[in-house]
Amino acid sequence: MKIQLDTLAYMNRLRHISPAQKLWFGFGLLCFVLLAHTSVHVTVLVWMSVWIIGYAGISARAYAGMMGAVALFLLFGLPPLVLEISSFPPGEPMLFQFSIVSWHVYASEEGVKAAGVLLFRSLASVSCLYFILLTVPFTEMLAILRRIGIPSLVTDLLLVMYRFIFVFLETVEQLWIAQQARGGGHGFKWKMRNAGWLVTRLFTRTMQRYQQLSIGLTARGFDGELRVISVGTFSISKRYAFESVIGFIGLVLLEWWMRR
Amino acid sequence: MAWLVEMEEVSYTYPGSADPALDRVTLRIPRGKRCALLGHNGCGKSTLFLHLNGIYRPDCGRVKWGGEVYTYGRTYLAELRKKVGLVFQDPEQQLIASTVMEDISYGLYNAGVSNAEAAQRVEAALIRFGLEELRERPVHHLSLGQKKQIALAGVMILRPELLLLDEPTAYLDPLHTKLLLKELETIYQEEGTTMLMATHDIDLAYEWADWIFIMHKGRLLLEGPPEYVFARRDVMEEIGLGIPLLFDVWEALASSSFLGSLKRPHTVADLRYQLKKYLVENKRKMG
Repeated sequence: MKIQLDTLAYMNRLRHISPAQKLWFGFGLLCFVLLAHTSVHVTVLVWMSVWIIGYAGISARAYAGMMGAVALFLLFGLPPLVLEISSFPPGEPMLFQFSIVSWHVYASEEGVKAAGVLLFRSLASVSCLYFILLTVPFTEMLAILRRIGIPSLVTDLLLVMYRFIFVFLETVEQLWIAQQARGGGHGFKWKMRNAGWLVTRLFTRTMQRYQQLSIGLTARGFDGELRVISVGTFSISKRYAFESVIGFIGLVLLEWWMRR
Repeated sequence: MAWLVEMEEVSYTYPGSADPALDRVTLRIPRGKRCALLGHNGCGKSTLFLHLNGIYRPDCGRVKWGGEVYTYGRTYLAELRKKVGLVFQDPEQQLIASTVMEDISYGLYNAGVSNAEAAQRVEAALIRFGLEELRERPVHHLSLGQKKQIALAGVMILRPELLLLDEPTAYLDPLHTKLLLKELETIYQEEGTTMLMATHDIDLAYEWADWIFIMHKGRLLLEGPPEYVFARRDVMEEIGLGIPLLFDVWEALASSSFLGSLKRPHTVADLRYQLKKYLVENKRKMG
């Protein structure tokens, strides 16, 4: 069982580049996006897509799918921002309006503008986040968390949780396939009953797994802390560092020019 | 013979269970030998393993390492678990970190090895087990065969004196079984590790082991070299484990009284060699 985001993060072409460099770049840009104007947002969105599809080699289809999901979510959130309902006739410039009895429903220019700003700001920030999620595998983020001094209790928990997500998904898949293979029927009632069985079995299996893991850990000499080697074969790419710095300066200039 | 671990009259019953999982087991593991522990599912093999590395404590009886009784103190257990490596049947049970390299390094840090040395030893182990390519791969992207190999590498990196293998060939295809056995052979030749493998594959046990234990319903029925154990047909048939095919074939050949003087073969290749040698010698005699 695989999670697409996770698999892509391990397979991307920027894998060998220091995770710190990628995180600085991603978060730096994210912070800047939160302060900047729409034209900067659009530029960031395009630039980030170049990084993700072009440099990291994530397939355009996978990326479009992920962005599409977010865009869809955003689009559903926009109508409340755009549409206004009031009992007084609107006193501001607007795109359209209609009246129902004594109520006026209208879309003001201001509202549309605000929605547009919000849409692009969100998409730009999401592209920065995706850049991080798609190029820095979880294990490397964990290594960084350890390095910046997050308590080992937290990182240990994250490690075990991360490991168990996959064991858990695999168990769900196995149980589900077994149910299907043993002649699972159709219909809502059947589905509900089977989901119930699945959850019960899953719970007992999870408890078994937990016991097995604690024996496994003890056998390997667990003494209250999970310490592992931090992989250190990364390099800082000068070419990408150069592009990110130049690009960032360009964005700052653009923002400055916009504000003038 | 020098004994590495001795169990004396060990009994253990799981909480809430009526029958004992181990019933007055007395068993001695010879130092520097490859031992096989044969028995059906649920005969107490895994429970016995967990006694050997001190995870379970016997209800009565005692376990000795090199003649000294286990004391079960905190530091004692930490030391013990460095000396006893356990490879579980399901690798999912012992793989904890998320990448191959991290996981192999896990035991080393528990053993208090410094960072630099750990990095060096992990590197050596990756090369030794042919896992370099998987180095940074997440564990959940690997196949079962690969996971088993990583589990073995993670245990062997600590250079244990006793290696416990719980059904190591379970679910493996013939190719991966062969690779695993080759790996074990190399370890045995290079490190001289004492090994104890739990299995119910009698042919594998006959081919691989120098020493055999037979367990049934929590009791140890037989122990000794394969020739001695498998000659006890009565016991083997009664508990339904059967006799290794090669052992049977050899008995059949030997009873026709023309091979009596030859050494009993443990592998098919060995059998072929013995027969060829016999034929050549007899031709010479006759010719």
